[in-house]
Amino acid sequence: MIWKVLLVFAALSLLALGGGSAIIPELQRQAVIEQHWLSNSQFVDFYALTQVTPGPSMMVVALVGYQAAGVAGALAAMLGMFGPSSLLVLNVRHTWNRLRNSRWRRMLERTTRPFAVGTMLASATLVASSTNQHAAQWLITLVAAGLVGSKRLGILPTMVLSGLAGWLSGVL
Amino acid sequence: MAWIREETVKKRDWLSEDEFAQAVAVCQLLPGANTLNMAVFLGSEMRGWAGALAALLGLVTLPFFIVLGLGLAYGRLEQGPLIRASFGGLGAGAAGVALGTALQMGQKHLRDAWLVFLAALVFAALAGLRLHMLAVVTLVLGLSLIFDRGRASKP
Repeated sequence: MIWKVLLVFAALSLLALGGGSAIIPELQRQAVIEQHWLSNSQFVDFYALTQVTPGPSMMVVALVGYQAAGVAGALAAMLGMFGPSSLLVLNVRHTWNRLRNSRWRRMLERTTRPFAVGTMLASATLVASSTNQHAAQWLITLVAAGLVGSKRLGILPTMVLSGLAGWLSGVL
Repeated sequence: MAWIREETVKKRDWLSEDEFAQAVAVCQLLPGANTLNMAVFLGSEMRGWAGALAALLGLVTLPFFIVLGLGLAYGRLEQGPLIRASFGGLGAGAAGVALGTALQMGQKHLRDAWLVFLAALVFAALAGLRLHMLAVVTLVLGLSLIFDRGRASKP
């Protein structure tokens, strides 16, 4: 199981074009639908939790690995996720700087941005459709999107407010 | 990222503004989390692969234990209605944060119709068709290579 975890994350590591969050839709598909490491609602809970904890937002991979194969699984997930991409950075950082004016590099530069936007939208849709059951939750999603999208509020305070709003809706 | 810049360029003079900008450009282009790529890049500039490893471990060790602790606590948690409602709020908020971030990035970066088309394609392939990500990456790079070469060759 640990090898499987390592392998899945190593592949994801090199596909994370345009930033770490790009893997969220594929991670959900692999971990929940293909491998059954955790339930969809656990996945969304973990994703939400790692948005309010310090450190890179990609720490959700540690929780998915933990759910799959305990502490060793969590370590394997981290190694798989950050190993291959780090090795790539180590090996090509100088080559890439020299290629500053190459057509390939410019094409890749143009492609990573829409990729990041598309994957982020897909994450939003997948998370919202798995977790939102009441109108109140959709309202929270829209307000949070408005606050973050217009840069009126940072991610952490927006998340804290959302959690409080959810709790309040449970009390009422 | 702003914090890394503050610490390495402004406070410690480890590298110049221009070197920093180049590092950011490379790290955003390569796959992987941008901040972690940045840590590896800057660490290796200073102390080779040992520096890269130190920077990487420095960035993820504490968050790893915090997150793991939360995971353990989550497993023990009584999933009462109030807890579920709070997680419902957090999940809804996380979806909103992702949506807001996407809107913000889109406004800033999707400057022509081709880029909007690619973003919509990636979205539909991943959220709608649930294609494997390798297929989506290949498709997008292939389409860019065929249809976007002319524009990409202009500075």
